[in-house]
Amino acid sequence: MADAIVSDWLAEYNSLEPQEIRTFAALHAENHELSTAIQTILNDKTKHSELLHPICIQLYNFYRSNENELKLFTLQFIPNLIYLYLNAVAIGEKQNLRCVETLILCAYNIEVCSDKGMLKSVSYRMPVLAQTSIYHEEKNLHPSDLKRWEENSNKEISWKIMKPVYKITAQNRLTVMAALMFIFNQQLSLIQKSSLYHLCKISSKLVTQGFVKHGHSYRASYGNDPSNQSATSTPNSSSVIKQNPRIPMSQQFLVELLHAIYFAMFNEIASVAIQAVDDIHNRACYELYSDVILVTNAIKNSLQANPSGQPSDGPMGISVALTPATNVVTMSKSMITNASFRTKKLPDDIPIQIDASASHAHTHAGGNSQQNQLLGSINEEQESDANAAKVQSGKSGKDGTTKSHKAPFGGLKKLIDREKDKDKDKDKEKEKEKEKKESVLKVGLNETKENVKKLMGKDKQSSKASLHTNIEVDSQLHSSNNGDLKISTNSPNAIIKRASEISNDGGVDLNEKPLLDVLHMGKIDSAVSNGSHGIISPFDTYNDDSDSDGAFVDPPHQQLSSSSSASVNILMENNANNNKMMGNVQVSQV
Amino acid sequence: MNPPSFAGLCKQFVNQTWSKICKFFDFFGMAAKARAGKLESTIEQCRNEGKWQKSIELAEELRQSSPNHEALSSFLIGEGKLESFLETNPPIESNFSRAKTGLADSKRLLTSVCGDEGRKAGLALDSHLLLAKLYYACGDFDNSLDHFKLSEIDNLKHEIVLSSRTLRILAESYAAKGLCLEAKNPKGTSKFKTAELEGEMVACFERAADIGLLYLQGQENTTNMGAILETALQRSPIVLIKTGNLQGAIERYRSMLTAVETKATTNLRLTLARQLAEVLLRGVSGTVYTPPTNNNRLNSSNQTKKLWMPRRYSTRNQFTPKNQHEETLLLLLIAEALANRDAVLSQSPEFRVARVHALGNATAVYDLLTLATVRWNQMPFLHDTFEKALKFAFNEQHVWRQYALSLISLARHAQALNALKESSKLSPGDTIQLLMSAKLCYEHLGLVHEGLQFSSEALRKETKGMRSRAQLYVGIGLQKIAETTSLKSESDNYKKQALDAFEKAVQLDQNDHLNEYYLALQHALNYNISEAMMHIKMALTLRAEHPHSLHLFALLLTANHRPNEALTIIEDALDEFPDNLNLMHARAYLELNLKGAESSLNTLQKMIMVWKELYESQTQTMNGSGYDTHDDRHSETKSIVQFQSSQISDKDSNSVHPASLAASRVEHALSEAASSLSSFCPRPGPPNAWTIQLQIWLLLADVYLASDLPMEAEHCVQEATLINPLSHYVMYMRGKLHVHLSQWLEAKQCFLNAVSANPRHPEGLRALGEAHYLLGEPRLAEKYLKDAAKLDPGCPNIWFTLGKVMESLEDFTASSDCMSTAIQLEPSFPVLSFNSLNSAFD
Repeated sequence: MADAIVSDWLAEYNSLEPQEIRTFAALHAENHELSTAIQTILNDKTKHSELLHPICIQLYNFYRSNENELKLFTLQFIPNLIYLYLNAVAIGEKQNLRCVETLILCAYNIEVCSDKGMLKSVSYRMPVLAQTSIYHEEKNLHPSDLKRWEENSNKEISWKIMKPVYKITAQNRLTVMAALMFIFNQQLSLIQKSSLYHLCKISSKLVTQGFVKHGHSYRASYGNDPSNQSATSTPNSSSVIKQNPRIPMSQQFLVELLHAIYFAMFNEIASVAIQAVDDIHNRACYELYSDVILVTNAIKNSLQANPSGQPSDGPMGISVALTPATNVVTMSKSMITNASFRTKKLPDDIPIQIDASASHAHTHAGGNSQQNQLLGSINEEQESDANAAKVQSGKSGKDGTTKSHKAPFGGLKKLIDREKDKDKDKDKEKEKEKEKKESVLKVGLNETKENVKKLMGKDKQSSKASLHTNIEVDSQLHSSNNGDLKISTNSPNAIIKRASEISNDGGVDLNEKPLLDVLHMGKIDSAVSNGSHGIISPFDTYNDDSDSDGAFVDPPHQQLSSSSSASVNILMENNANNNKMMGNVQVSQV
Repeated sequence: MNPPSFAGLCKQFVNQTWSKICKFFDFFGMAAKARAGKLESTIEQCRNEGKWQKSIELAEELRQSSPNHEALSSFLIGEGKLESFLETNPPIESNFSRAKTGLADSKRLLTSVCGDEGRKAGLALDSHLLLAKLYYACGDFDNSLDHFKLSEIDNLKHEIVLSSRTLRILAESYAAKGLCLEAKNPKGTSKFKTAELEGEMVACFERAADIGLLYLQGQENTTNMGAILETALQRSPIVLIKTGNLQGAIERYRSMLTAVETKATTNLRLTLARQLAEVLLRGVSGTVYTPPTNNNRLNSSNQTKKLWMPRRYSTRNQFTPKNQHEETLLLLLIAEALANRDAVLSQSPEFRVARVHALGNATAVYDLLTLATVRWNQMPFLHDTFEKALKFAFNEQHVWRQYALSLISLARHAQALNALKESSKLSPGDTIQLLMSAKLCYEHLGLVHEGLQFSSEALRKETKGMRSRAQLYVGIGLQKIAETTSLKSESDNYKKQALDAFEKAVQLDQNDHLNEYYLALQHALNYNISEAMMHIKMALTLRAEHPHSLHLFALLLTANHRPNEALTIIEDALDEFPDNLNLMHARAYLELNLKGAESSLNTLQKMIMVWKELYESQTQTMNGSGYDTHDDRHSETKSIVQFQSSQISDKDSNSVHPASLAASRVEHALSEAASSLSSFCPRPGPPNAWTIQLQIWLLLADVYLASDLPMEAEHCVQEATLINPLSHYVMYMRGKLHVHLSQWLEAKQCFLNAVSANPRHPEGLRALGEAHYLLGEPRLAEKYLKDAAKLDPGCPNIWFTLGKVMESLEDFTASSDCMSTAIQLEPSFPVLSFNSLNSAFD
């Protein structure tokens, strides 16, 4: 039956005039009977071996022709041909299938090279969320998403470089097969359903051939009788093996197969396709192919338990997935989701560092915004009790000398809330001052503000420029609404990094021996700040005004006489992991 | 839409309808002017904000204060009751029966307004629409459709600005009508009729989507759009797919996704983005894809006319996908960001449902991302995704497993091992992960004992198909340990166990070439050549094209005094694996001995060319981005990659491979020290590529020495020194060069250096012994040679030299013993050590 159809087909094509080819091609697209006949022959080549050769030649001619339909006609048999060929190689009968090998090789080379002999490649741009698209605006997305994808920014992705191949060897065989499957996959939606069915069947065969379920011994083995080993040996056992040669696989080839099978799964061939995925999964596990297992895991998981849907769930497995009617509103208050985290410009619980080096204020002012981003850290928003906060802060305020805050999370927040209240008042004051003086000396901490003002007042003219930059940062912080402390950051990133390294080290706990570490920090900082004089004064950021007088003011006063400019920098670093805090103040002058 | 043609169609009717609409829509304005203005505007506000209880209360008030407004207040109360009922009982099938009883009151009130009285008050349209919705909620689709018909909703074609409540009623009405039409599922009707109904349904859904999204864009605070609307919006593309209009469905998805998002649409957008990605992955392939048109222009030109259209994203330079991969990935990226944002971190039990739901949404996206990216080898990308997911995937085995796998695929071995350990805790029965850990330990991390532990655990747990592999991995571990153990008795014990393990593996799975290969290798390592021969033949029968097996087979032939056959085998194997440097290495060595230096040099030249082709790009691109080297992992070069990692393959037979692992650590430490002290700086690029080059140079030096060209050999050694002056191979080779020039003192120094760098290098020890012997220091020579013999008791060369040393010490019995041992060993000794061969995993 099949023979007859195919013979007719071969004869018909050979008698065609060149101008008739187009109509011939158009007819082919719908000729299911013929495809089935060819499938039958290819699947059972032993019966029809004499037809194989002419079929290959015919298919090759089709592939070479410029008619898309004819090309597609050949393409649908690619899985069959691949199996035929790989199986022949595995059982060592490659020489009987030269025609298939030639066909595969030619098809590959036709696809690899364009008409002009250049290499073809399929590529696309990697989309990046940081760029707006027709489907989104970046402002609605979490900043971390944006940042992360920026790294991939619009790079070209291409399906590995394919080179022309002159001869199929063991080394490149599976690469060629994978490439052919890739080409097949590009035409998937034009391929007939029956061909997809065969594809799944063949995939199962490719990966399971030579495997027995759960490793039952079925071969009378020399292993049973070690003394007899040499006597039994090869011929006997190899005859048994011949039934079942395993076919070597490659990750890439299997991944391409899976892609086609996944497509088939949602185009009416569900059960066979699911079976094929299972088979490939087992084989991939056997070979420990990580890439393939990734994909099979993904497919299996999406079939088992999740909203992606089953192939049976309607067309393409897509069905309505309603938002659960749970009262989202009532829940969301106490539930923490990723959206509860927000990136802030500068964190609340911060080690503090004052670096009053005018030169740096100049040089690094430009880097501030960048720095702020760098320091951006994640804080959980919490509400806290203002009263309790006052008590807490009162305590810490009177603590006197050197303090760095390492308050438990809640307590810390309270502290900060208190600062917020304070700040509001101070803000007003500041506004007034702004009007009074042309250049406003607003520096980080309002507690220290008075002192700093004194310092700067004297050198107002000369330090104007540098201070101005400070203020910019300052107001920026205010507007961010999170600036519970008013800070001017004006220091090279190196110091920040250094500080964070040290604090992350875990070796430094400022609560235990604050002075020492602060001094240590100071040394590093002054080293970084290129020889500017550094005076390190450990002090408490949250001190009341009276307290800070003693702790902070003195050192700057001593040096003030010779100073030409001064600025105060407070570096803040938040260690989100352990909430360890560091305080460091450095005042230096040029 | 087109006014003239529409007017031409039925002018009179339009006028009628139009006036009706105006009457209705202006009703509140007029009424407000007329009397209880304030009250009504409050009611209107409540309706817009969906405060139904308050609306009902106010309506009662209105009824009492102004009896003229009987119809209006009935309508308002009916509406309020309907909406507040639906808020708690969404109109889904399971609620239909409850709705029938719960909505009776509302039905009565609304029906009362439907009549003439209502029409007078301009409330009929609204009442019909609400009644239709009410019937829909009761599952009474026929009645619902009747009311839609009565409301003449299909004739509303003039788009005017509407209040948000009216928008909502309209959107929901279209949605409900579409759903009714779908639910009715007309069977037995003609094909034409069906097509017509489908067309109507699709049109309804489309309208529902446009108006619904427009309505939601006006609502800042709404977070829930209501079940009817949500169902209809998701349903509309599905209906299109069902009717076979895939392209139409895609356009539907696109038109909904391009609408600017609001709070209420976040969940919907996540679903839609995922579904469109699914459609693109499952239903579209390269050639039939039509990219989305940039609706920028389209939008701006029509903006004036389309009042009932939602706002769409339109900025300059927005990314517009050009092919299906771009669009799929873009959608998945957006979906991923949305899913991540909603991922629930709270672990307390009351959030379990929400957490599982959110995680399910996220993993669905990850699975699709996996499908879409693995093919394109975008592992770094995938890895980042999973890494981010770990944050909310506590104890979720799927995410952890995928994370570990992505690390393996990225070749970040140490991290992958840690992830696998973590992941194994979550799924303790999963032997695959144990075996993967074992493989990582063996192949890349040099943690042989740990690898053995993993394999044994796998063997203990596995009962099914993977048993033979587990058994094999146990064997591999034992084999490797045996090689590193210095005590002979212990080493023999391990060897025995390894052999045992391999034999068991073969019994478990007789169709596996790897089992046979390792069994053969173990026999070979025991110098049991005939057994080894038999098993390697088995392995080759099972898989003829296995480079490792072919290599071992060739070596076994040389151990059988059949070097010419071995060379033929190697040459044939190289036809199939033209880029396999291991085989080339063996070939060069065989040629040197069989054909002379000339052909050996040819082979070496080829090796250098292969190196250039495969590795040179690595050494250059490495500086730029880490991703590029990854691409090579998948190329045909896999077999060669093992050349560097496993066998720092020794040209001169006797390197104990596992020892060279320790040696490479020493060398590494040395080179670190050196680079801090001197001007020596390591070459850029992956160390493996350079190690391979170094091996090639040294082999070349050997060949030049054999052809008596010490100058050339020296140049080669010089080149190797430039790559890594501290390699013990380089030192050893330099020593050999000095030997060739009869500079014994220098040679001794070089060998001494080599042995210091790697005290388990038997050939170095042998050469050092020989140097001592020739320098007239037989006692030292004896010591070193004995060390060498301990390390590699099967090497006839060592025994022979030792024999000579003993002879010079006039211990003739010992000497003759040694010599006879050498003679005994010689026939079964291969041209290159079997040790150069042992890491094959596929």
